[in-house]
Amino acid sequence: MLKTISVLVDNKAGVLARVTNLFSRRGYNIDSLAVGTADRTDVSRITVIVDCDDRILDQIVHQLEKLVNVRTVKVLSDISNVTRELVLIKVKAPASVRNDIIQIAEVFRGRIIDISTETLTIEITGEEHKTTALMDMLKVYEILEVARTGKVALDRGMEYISYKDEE
Amino acid sequence: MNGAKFLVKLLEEHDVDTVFGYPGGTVLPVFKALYASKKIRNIRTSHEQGAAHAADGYARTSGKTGVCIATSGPGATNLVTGIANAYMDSVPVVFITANVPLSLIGTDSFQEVDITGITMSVTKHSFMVKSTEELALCVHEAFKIAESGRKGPVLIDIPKDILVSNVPNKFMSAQSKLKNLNAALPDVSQEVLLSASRLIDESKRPLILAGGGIKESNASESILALAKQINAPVCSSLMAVGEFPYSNELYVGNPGVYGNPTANSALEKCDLIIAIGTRFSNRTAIDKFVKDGSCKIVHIDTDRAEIKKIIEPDCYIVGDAKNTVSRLIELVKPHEKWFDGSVKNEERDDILEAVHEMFGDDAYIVTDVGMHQMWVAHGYPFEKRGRFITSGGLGTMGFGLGAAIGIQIAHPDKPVILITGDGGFLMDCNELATLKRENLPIITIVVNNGQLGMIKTIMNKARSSKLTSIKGAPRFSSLARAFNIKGYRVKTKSEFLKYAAEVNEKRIPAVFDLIRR
Repeated sequence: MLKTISVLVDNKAGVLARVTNLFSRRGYNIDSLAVGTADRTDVSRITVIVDCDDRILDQIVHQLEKLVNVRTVKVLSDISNVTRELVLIKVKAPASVRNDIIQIAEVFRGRIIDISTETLTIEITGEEHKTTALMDMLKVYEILEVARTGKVALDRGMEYISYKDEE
Repeated sequence: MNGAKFLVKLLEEHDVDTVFGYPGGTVLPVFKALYASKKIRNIRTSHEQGAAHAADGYARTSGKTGVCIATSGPGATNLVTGIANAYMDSVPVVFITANVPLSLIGTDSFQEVDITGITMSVTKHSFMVKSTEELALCVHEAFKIAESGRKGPVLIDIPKDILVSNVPNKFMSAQSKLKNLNAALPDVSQEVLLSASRLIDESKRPLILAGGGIKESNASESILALAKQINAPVCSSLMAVGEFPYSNELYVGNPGVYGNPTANSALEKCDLIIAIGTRFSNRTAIDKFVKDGSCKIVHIDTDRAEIKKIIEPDCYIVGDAKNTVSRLIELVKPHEKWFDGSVKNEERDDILEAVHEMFGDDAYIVTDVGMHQMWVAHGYPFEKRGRFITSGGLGTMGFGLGAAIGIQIAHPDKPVILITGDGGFLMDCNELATLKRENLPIITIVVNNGQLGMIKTIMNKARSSKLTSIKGAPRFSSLARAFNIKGYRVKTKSEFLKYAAEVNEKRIPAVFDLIRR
């Protein structure tokens, strides 16, 4: 089952390598990984999605907690979180089909962020089924390139990670 | 003050009295500073791996953190087995390597390796010091990490230019901002203790399985008190051998793949395992006893990540072994005795008795890895705790002599006996030179059966001796003499006792080639 884990780490060189090394060394499969600074510049937030059962999830959490540069590990709620991924799709779009593609993008709330005589680049965010559906539609026109950010997620409502505990 | 001198000053602040190591190009400034130190003794070995095992053996028996220093490139990679060995057995050692100057890092320059990267998965943490400003902080944090919670090795890699450049005064004091590493252990709630005691009360045939974790917590006496209260046989993983007196009637030995038959028979019959400070290594081979659900498990460990890693317990307690067990004793009801076997009735080589007779309860018994290690683990009559030193988790052949050196340095007045195999001794006999140079009265007994015994038990099915014979091995007694150390070729207990008495009286090192073919 897919589980979303938020890992707050020190924003230092080599920390991401330590985290990913732990996953590969212990044989945990990463489904998606996204990294960026959090609300404080000295902290990075790693959002990692793993396909595993509850026992492995328990292991991942406690193994991660042993890493010196890991501050907090939290498994997000399965039912009450918001997950987003940003996808850029470059599609072949000569003038003859350009309008069709723009219309499709609009249906999916996608935005056109680049245009050339032969191509269109669409930006779309959302949950996976939405981006997959858009890509299925665009396949007809030949997708030239796709770039994904990896998923980021937060729990809904008042459920959040605070730094209070550590200071 | 340059970085190297400051590093040595930091080591002195951490109460380091001995370092083990080997010099080389980039690390020379550190050795220069070490030789000038009046507080730190520097033991140079024949090989960096020997130094790593020596620091490990020193740490296991002194209660202090070991320190081992090597140069960049091959010096650093030669440490890796020793680092992994310390990691698997949770031994606190700070490894310090020098590296090429910062400007050359990443350019594949001469004797450059990425040792922080290489050791990432076999250390608790690895530091690369990128400026003189970071040096103090890295050293303080390295000791803190190595010594806190479940202990283990930490590596600090220092580029040469940091060792030779001046450290401004303002960088000399540093405050660690590390999260409180010991805070990971919350108090054990009465509720969870009660659920554990309920499982114990309900069981008819409880058994205690103790592991290496009990050493750190000094829990063996409390565990024996619990065992007495509930009449449970006590067995120890390889890492906990020697923690319980061999003469204690409840001690049944070391279970597992190469285990004592008595311990295995107790495990087979029990209906509850109280596992304390053990991580259910596959060598303990406990799964086959619990898979069918006929046996329940209570798991007590300080490391939460060990819970449910291998086995899903019916109840677990994250806490200090001694503390938890002492509180459990107050809750559990007395049980009838259910197991009768005694490990003392098992067959054993008479040389073990002879060693005990000659050197007494206080002797440190070190082993290498192989069949001789199992013989010692199963049959040596340990009475005092902490006297059995072995490579448990990693199973490192070539561990023995280095470790024995570290132990003898930590305990100059105690007998240190290395019982090794002919295979293992061929891997580390280069350290006889260190023994001679430092005049360490270590007694080495090479159990010489002319083969790699443990491999042979695996290979027997294939009926091949190509892989297992040690043809071409030297006469170990003659080898010792080449190092100017006494060497004896012996077959019987009485021969051994005769020569051992001589060398023991003179407190000089000796190698016994004990023929067992």
